Amino acid sequence: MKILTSSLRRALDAIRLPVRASSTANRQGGHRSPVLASGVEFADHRPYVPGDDSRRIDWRAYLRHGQLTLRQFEEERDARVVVLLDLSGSMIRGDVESKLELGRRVAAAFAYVSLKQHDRAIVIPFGETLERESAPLRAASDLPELDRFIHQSEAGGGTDFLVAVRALAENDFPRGVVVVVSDLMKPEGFAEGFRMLGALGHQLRVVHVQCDEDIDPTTRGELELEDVETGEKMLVRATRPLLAAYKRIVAEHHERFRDACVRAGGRFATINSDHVVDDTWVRDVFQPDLSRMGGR
Amino acid sequence: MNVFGLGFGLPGAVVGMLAAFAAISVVLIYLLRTKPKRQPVSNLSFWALAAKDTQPRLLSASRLPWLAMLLSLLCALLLIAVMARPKHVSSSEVGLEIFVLDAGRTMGVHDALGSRWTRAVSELERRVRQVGDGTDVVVIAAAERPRVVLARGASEAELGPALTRVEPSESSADWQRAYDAVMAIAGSPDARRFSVTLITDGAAPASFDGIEGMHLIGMGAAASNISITGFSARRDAEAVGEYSVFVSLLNDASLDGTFRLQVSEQRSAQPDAPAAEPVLLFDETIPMSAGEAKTFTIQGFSALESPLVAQVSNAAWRGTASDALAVDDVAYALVPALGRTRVLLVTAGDPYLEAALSTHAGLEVSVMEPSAFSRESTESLAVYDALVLSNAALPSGVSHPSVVAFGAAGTPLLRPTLSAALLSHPVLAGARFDGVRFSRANAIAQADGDHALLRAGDDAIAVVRETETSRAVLFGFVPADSSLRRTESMPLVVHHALAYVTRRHEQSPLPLRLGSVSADASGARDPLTMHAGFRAAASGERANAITRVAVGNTERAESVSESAVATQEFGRARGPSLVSIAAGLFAAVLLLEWLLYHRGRLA
Repeated sequence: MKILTSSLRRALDAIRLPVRASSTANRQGGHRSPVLASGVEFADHRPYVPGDDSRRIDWRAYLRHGQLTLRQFEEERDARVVVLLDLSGSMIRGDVESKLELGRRVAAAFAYVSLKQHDRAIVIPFGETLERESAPLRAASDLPELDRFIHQSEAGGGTDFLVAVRALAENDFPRGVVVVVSDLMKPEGFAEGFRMLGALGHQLRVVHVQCDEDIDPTTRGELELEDVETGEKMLVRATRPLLAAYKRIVAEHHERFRDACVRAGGRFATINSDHVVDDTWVRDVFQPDLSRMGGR
Repeated sequence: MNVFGLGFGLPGAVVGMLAAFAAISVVLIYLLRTKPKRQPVSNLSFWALAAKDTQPRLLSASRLPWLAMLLSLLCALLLIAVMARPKHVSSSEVGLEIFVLDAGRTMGVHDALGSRWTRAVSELERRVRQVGDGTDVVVIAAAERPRVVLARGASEAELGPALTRVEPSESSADWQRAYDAVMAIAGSPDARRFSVTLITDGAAPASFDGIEGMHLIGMGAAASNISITGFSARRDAEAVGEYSVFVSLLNDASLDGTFRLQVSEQRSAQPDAPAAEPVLLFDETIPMSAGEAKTFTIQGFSALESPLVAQVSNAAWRGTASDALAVDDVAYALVPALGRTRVLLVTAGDPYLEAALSTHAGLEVSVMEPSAFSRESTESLAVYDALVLSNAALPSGVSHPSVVAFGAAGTPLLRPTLSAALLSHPVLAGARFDGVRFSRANAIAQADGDHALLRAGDDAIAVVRETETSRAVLFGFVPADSSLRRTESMPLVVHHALAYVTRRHEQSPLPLRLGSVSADASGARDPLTMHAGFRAAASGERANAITRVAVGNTERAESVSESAVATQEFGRARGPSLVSIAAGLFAAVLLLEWLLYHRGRLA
């Protein structure tokens, strides 16, 4: 079954992923860039200096002021969109739908939106480090390959987001949009990773995929808890106070991750795999982008 | 040096097995309850943080379950130890174990578990066998006269034959004398330490309260018993010759039942009269709910002495049909004979007065002509309790202390109209004078101290005259001159007048309960012994003893609960027993541990 169904693509067709000028790449594209060159969007005037292209002299200004002045235009460039998809073992949890299934669709959606606005998108799974990345998505003909790649990505193992981010930096990825799709079910690594991505100049988007079992467990009694990532076990008596403490601690951590994301200049969205109905999650994930465009 | 150890009433092997079973059970409970349910989670770190956050800070969470298990184990073993009847064992001191066996009448009762006496004897023998070496045993049978069944120093083998010669007595145990016997034995110089075990079918007698460390082995059973708790009879003061019988029944059982109650009058009270068939006064089957008490009132009529018998039979309870105690199913009472009053009626012919006197069964009436009466002297008239004169007067110089005179002399009145009646006077009690007419009457001259009973205007036509030695009721009319003769008040007035002048009142005997001695004034006759069914109660003392047995058993049946049916042993302490304390501790520890787990105070 295709990840990007026709209905999902119709929903995504109306969305445009805004990219900060500072996060654009060096190829011509559809986003404003900090580079003033031969674009179509007028930016400013500056005095002529020898060596400048005489075709950009504003002769009307010369007639009014008697000084040679050059017209400057913003160059429109494309953007690199990197979708970091969490493939740790915890992503297989979920009651109605696993977090991984929903995360796959979110990742594909971001890649599709990027493709539609002529940006180059790649999907990179991560667990304890970065996994093999997908081929850059340049045209609609690349969508089947993306579909196959995402389908072949299986979850398992642990999570170390900070290591993954460091690997991303070491690979010298150009600045762009970094979309993190994860359940954020680890106390450490995510806040630091978000701060590092912001410091690297990336435009950060975090999609927190959660399930009820993670945020609101209800099973009580004597339990042998088993970590699906590490296989580690722990005996607890799940009492009401313990469950309350667990919910509070998890909520505090997620709030800390949201705060770190916002401080890094990013946007944070939360969706629940146990509460998704059709493609309603699209509105939750792309809500800021829809608002900017005046709604769908 | 005295060395004290701890022994058990139960065999050591049994105690050991019970203790092992309890220990294994407790450990198994703790092992089984730690089997957790497997639950995969996304990340354990958050759970670890939460567990750390809710971890108890007062005690070590990891050690508390083990401490709880240890405490539970100790409580369980304590419970077993207490149930095994621990006792001190002295290796050097000469001990004395005194068994007091209740040999009262109620020990012969056959209840749901069989004979109490048989069970008590078996329990006694078993306990005597368990007494360790170095401890002397004395067995006392507490009956009407306590006696030592097994003397100190006697061989244990002598107990069995000795017990065959003992059986429940006909009376209840004399506990005070039994206590005196115990103290006499225990007070010997070489018995520095002793214990008393009381085997009885009821509560410990108060006389044993002062003994420390006494054991009470209950043999009572919550029996189903129907009992006659009250049976009495008294003559009806309003109706001559009639008497009322009161029977109280108590269904002393935890079940509803039906019972046949029969009350009969034995008419063979006169020694010279032939035996007559009993007259059945009451015969009904009565349903009674559990614990219900009912009282029945039955009317009888006899001027003679009437022994009464109440008997309950055909007792049937739902599910069981045996009456625990038969001795309280029958009761006896006696209605004394109506007092005989010898009356001399002096009249030339007064059918109304004769008829009124004849209705009184207690009267022995002699009739005399006035002409003959004039020749009587005071001495000759003294044989009569009362004189009833109709148009006659006492001869001159003759007196009698009790006179009722009709047609007494006075001023003649023609058709007097009754204007007042002293109805509060005993002579007129209950009489009515509505519509009573007089054709003629004599107005009686009143002397000092006279009370006018009936008045016609200012004239008194009936007077009561009383001196220190005599009483007289004077009516200024004869029955034939008044319409009073046609009313029911006529015999009543005559009866009351006779009762007043003779200073005699109807006998209202006190209730005669089972075994009451109702001999006459001379004490020569005990009418109750005339009944075949009561011949066993030949003496008043013995009959009273039976009374106590019957009532005592009723009280005991109320106090002995179902749980005391078996040979349950309990101490003399007023508070809860050690068994209940140990069981309570055991339950409390388990509850506390459970609460701690569920409150999250334990990991």
